[in-house]
Amino acid sequence: MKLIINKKGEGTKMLLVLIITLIVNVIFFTGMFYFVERSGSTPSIYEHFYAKKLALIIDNSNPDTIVSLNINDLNQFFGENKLNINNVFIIQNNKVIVKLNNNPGYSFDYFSDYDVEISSHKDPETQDLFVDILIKERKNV
Amino acid sequence: MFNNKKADEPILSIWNFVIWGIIGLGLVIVIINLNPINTDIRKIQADLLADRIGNCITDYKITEKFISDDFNLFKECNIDKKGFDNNKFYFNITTRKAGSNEVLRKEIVFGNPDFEIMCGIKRNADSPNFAKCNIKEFFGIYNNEQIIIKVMAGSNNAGGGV
Repeated sequence: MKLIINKKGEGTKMLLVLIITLIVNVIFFTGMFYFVERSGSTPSIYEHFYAKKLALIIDNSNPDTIVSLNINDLNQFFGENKLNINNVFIIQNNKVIVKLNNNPGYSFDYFSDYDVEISSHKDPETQDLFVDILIKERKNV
Repeated sequence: MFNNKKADEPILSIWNFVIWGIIGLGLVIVIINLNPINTDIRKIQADLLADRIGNCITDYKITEKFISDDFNLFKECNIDKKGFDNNKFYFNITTRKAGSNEVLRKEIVFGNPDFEIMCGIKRNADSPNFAKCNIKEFFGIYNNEQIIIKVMAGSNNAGGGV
């Protein structure tokens, strides 16, 4: 009995140590998971990805080609930033510019001398959003 | 000597924070290095440029025009000149008869010639700032004889903010 009474205080302290350690670990690892999740879905990652992808598509194409690219994973930006698709993908001076927020965006050069037009459409069945890239031979001005 | 000594476990010791700091720092370093933002597509673009030039020139309708000096490669092959003036792209074309070293046309070089040096030395000392190149050979027909067109294309196009 005496032994048990003496152990009681130490047991409570051990429990307190365990609980505090668990709480601090949970806070730490929650913070880490949040950081990992956020760093994989920032607008700048998508801007880089789509600018490079579109530039490669243009350079890999022949004139009079239309390429439709599924951009459903950009829907998260269209809602929260109220973006217009025509302001997201811009072709200017042989550069593809992709802008997903109020920042200037990301640009990537391509070497082809084509006239490129960008438009978009939604698939009526799946409701997936697509960007259409129309590549035409450059008209001599 | 050991009277009144009590071994006690501290609730939070400095070592806990050191270990968490090491774990957190390691995670941040790995994520930054594996970040897809740094995806390098220069080699792919150099490959596409070499293919564009080679496939264009070996088109039988164009080969004869190409061998004569009066040939506008940019117009015939739909390539924009601006990227070469900005040191983003480079190409070098040599043409010879198949099976011999007879040169059929003088070398065509466009862009920054330093690309050849960068692509040549990177076997021993690579750097993310060096251009990426691709060398390809294409076969064509000229005057009913087979010719070899060697294209070296390079890209140092890293993209950037607007």
